[in-house]
Amino acid sequence: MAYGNLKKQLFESRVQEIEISQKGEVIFSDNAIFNIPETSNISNFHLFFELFPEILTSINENIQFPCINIEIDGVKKIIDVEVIKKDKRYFLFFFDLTEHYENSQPIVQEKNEASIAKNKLDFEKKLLEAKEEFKNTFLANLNHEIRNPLNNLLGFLETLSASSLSYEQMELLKVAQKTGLQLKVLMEDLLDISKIEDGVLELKHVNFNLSTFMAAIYKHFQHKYSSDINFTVETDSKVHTALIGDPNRLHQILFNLIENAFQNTYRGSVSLLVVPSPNNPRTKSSNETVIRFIIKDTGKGIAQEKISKVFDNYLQLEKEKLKPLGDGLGLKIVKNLVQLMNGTVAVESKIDVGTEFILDIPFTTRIPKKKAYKTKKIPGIYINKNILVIEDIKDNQMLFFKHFLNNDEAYVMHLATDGAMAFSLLEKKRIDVIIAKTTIPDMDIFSFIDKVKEHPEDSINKTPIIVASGNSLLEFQNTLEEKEISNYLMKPFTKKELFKAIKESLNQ
Amino acid sequence: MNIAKKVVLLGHFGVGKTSLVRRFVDMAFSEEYLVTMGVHIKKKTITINGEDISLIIWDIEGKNNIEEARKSYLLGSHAFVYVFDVSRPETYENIESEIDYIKEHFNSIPYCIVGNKADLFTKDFSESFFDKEVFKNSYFTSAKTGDNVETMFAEIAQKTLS
Repeated sequence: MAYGNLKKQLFESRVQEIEISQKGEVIFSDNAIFNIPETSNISNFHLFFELFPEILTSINENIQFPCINIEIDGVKKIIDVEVIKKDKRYFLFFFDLTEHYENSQPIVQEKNEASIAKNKLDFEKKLLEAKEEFKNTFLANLNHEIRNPLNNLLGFLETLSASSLSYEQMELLKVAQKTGLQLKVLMEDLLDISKIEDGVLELKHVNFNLSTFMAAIYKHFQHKYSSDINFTVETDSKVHTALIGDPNRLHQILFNLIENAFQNTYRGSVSLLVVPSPNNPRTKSSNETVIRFIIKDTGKGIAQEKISKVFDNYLQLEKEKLKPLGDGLGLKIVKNLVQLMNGTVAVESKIDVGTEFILDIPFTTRIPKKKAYKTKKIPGIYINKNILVIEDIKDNQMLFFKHFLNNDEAYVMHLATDGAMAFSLLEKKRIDVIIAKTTIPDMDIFSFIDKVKEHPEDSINKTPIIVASGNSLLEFQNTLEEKEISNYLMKPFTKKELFKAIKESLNQ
Repeated sequence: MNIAKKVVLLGHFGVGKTSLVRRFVDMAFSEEYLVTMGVHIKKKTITINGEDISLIIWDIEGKNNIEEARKSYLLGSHAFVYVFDVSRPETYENIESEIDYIKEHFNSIPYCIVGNKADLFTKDFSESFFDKEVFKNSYFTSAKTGDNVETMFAEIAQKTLS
């Protein structure tokens, strides 16, 4: 057989030609693929053609219908249909492309499934980001709301401590102050959760003494749980106590674990043991030390199958029976903080026997400072510094007055209740530092700063501005930084922190 | 007298167009997703106001937007059913422009919007989530449970008569 004939045969077996009238009557069919009797109507052949005569009238030229799935007498075909209108005659061509389309099916299937899966992942990611943003904004707003009253609480307690109190009153006041400070730290912890998860939390490297630190921990919990539970803190004499590290984070970790131990223990004991870790660096010259902290309780214990989940976010093993772990921050923050400090945390537990958390945390050791002898202050000449405070809330005003009352720095406080009054004072008096809140009644803080900076008089436009706020949003603080304020004072602040900020601003 | 009406199902791939047709015509459902190549055509006769209507349902392959659909498939249509998947935002986030396209190019042809896979609604995620104007009068169907499927097809058939 000639090659040309083979090609012709192959082509002809896969292409069918049909001529129909405008009403769909079959005039001719070569029946190469389907048997379509002449004199029948194409609309009866298959559903695809059922309304075909209707559309024929609208066809002016050739038209193609690709990939039509047709099943006749159990035989499935996928065909392309081409309609050609020529001299008022209608010709249909069927192209049998079943094999081609069937081969394409798995590729399209895979492509579609991959696209669905990708979109699903993208959506879940967006959802998580939105939740994260909501959480962070919520935490920041909550922080802001709590910091303002907390600032007054701590401020007045500080003022009260400077008054003449009996020994008992002073002891009670100290507990109140400590609790307030604890609340302040916890507010910061709340923000830290999102910072840790975002990987933007930075550790401090400051000098601290572990013995003093442990004594404070002991005192706090001894005071808090003076019940049937015996609480002990023991530090091995071989442990380096003059350290460099982040005592706040260490406090946060131990506080959470001890609190957790107390919450899960109804009788018996809770103990904190501090020993050198067996994982210490072997070189003697190293100034690194790994300290092991063991927090042990005789509580109800954790079931073996639940131990691996103990560091999950906010997990409470038996919600109905237990109060929130720690102060609601959970053990997740503990694990994240320990990892951030390049340490490890492990847990061992037995039901009705107790739980033991074992932490190995590295620190840098230092040579302890010798106590400096205090020299008596020699009275000198102080030049008054005028401090303008913009504050409209009476309690807050009173707190500022108390802080500035009889201060040793010769700071003289002037009060303005809004922006207009502040400018009136600025123009009348030589002001050395402005302390402004973020919600000035008659203008927003950014406009206020701009107005000061753009003031024609140098004595005003160069005045350092301290912004005192409970707003912990980084974006807000960055905007203030761009405005070149001299200091940002985060509420709650102590008198010492306030005066330090003023001093720094004056020295700039 | 039996009237035949061509109804074309439009929408993204994987939204359940084929499942809706299978539920409506064959009263069957399968969880398995099998991509539609080209077009499958099925028929079901229903009675509206005492009149028999044969719905010739064109289940066409899913596309990310109508403009990508093969124009010849849409020729001679009497109604469109635009199907989206309530659980996949990408299938309805551009629905306004899709509907605008239908209105612009097929002005006189009735259409309806169908949010399928309504069985995935939960206490916190329900029809009320779709509160935009474009979703007003939408149908929320489940090819899996059959919820609202008959109603939707009956109502779109009704629209082809008016």
